[in-house]
Amino acid sequence: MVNSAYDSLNGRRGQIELKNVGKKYKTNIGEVHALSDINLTIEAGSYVSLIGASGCGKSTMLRVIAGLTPLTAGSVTLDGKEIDGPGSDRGFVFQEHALFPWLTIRQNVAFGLKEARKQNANDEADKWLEITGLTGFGNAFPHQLSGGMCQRACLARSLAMNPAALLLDEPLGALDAFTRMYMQDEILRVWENRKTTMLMVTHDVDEAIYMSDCVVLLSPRPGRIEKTVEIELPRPRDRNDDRFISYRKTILESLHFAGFRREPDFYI
Amino acid sequence: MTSDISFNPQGAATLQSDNYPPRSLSFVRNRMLPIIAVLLALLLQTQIPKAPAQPKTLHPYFTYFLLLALALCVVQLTLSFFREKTRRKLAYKGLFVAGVFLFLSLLNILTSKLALLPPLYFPSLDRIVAAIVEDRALLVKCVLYSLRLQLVGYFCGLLAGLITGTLIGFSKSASYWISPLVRVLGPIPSTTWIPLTLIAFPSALSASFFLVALAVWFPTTIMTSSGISNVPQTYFEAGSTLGARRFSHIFRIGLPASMPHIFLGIFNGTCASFITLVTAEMVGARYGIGWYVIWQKDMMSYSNVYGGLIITATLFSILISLLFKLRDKALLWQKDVVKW
Ligand SMILES: Nc1ncnc2c1ncn2[C@@H]1O[C@H](COP(=O)(O)OP(=O)(O)OP(=O)(O)O)[C@@H](O)[C@H]1O
Ligand SMILES: [Mg+2]
Repeated sequence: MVNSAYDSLNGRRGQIELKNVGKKYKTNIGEVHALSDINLTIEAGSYVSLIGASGCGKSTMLRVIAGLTPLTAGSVTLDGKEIDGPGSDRGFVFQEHALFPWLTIRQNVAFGLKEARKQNANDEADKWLEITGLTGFGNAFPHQLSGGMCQRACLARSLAMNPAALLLDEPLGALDAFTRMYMQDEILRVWENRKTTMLMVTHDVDEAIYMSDCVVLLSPRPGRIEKTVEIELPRPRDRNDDRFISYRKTILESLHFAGFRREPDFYI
Repeated sequence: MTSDISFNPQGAATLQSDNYPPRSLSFVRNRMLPIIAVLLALLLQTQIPKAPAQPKTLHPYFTYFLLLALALCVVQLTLSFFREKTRRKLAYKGLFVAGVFLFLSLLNILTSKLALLPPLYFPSLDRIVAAIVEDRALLVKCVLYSLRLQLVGYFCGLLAGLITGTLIGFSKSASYWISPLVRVLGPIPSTTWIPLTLIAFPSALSASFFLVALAVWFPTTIMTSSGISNVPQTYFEAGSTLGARRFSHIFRIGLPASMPHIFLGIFNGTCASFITLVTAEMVGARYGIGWYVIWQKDMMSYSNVYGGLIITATLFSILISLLFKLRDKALLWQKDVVKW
């Protein structure tokens, strides 16, 4: 029953390629060089995390791939096709869920399906609500749901479009630690079933290691790729595994956070 | 459940107070106030003789009115034994209704019984009710005329307002050309245009349609366009990533998201249109509720003026509460977010 939504398993689509991508914002305080010379290939069906200091251009990179922000240099392709605007082949999950408050959860999930003139949009939506554990909340309005539930509804709304790639901008940033870990497993479960290409921005190093095949580190001003770290750990991953911890160390060092922590002068 | 209550001191307290003697008193407080007030009003009306200064009416109409009110109160009281909802409503509104009838009694004594106010300008309640009853044919005709003017003008203005508001909200060039026009023409009260419209339009009727429409048009336009420009950009972006194009940006995102604003505009427009309606009728119309009031004033028939005012108030408050009902339905999604 649940698996029927996965029937249309897409073969190997969802390869994203960024070539010499650059982005400059013109603002009243002058030009902001948000991205510079980004070259990155994201394999179809892989899970990639973007990590880096605040303001280093992570959101900008995601928005460029989504086609929400025009780039100023280079090109982005999805399965070899140049991107020139937003489309339902690239889902986007915003940090603040961005569900439409005037629609019920079911109507929110069915929004894109109706846009694509799918028949039985509501049934399809219900299927996705079931997959994301929201059965029974179809008629609720977003403000009546918890943050985690809204984020799941958002995920359902994007996944219902059967996108080649899903772009997640700090999707779990607003959640508490427990809901967050629970949601990480939820997202992984959906991903393992569908193998949609996932590109996720996060501030949480553990989250990046726990979830991704590959972690991309960005350095700020202008945003460049500092390093990419392949995570070669079997799934499901153990956060206390030695190799997990050594990956964390590598990434924190690259972000210049490791070793900087001062020992407290006294203990209470 | 019962054990819950016995552990809860507050619950126990409410249980107790339910059993205490005030029970009968609370019955009077919660259910009987309107009936008592109406009976008192009836008593005053029938037992105190009328002042000779007030002209007599054919029938004691105010007594009839009070008897009708008494019948309604008795029906409500009976219903309250069967329906929880009526019971609660009666308990809440009863005091207010009683207050209204006490106020009417006071008026009745001042005008009809003592004639303390000049009877020409302050007719007895008997005469006001008489005016409504005896002039009912003309009043119905006037109400229908006003309704036609109001509804046609209102919906034309509303539609025009939604269209211009949406254009300004979504199209840069429309905004460039129309906004300044709206800004200059909009704030002028539509009644100011009366002298001009009387020349420009072939008939007073078409001029009135235009004026009512104009009154709704401006607030609707302003609030629709400002509503649209206040829609968070992420909604449009989320829509785009779900495959929405321009048409859906307007009709599936922009307009629904601005509904709270739009309803504020419509509400303001409705009030403005009432003002315009009555004024336009006072100036150039034949028939219509505004015309009736002015005409009766010119005839120095103040009981009819009051009758017309009462009918006008009733008509407008019915229209407004219909609008509120519609809004509650359309804005269900933010019911416990925003209240106004
Ligand atoms: N719409 C915009 N106009 C002008 N400058 C912008 C705009 N959006 C982002 N920037 C600038 O681009 C740079 C990168 O911003 P971006 O939002 O991509 O950072 P980020 O890595 O997502 O940060 P955070 O982790 O805080 O979300 C910042 O310096 C920011 O000031
Ligand atoms: Mg960001």
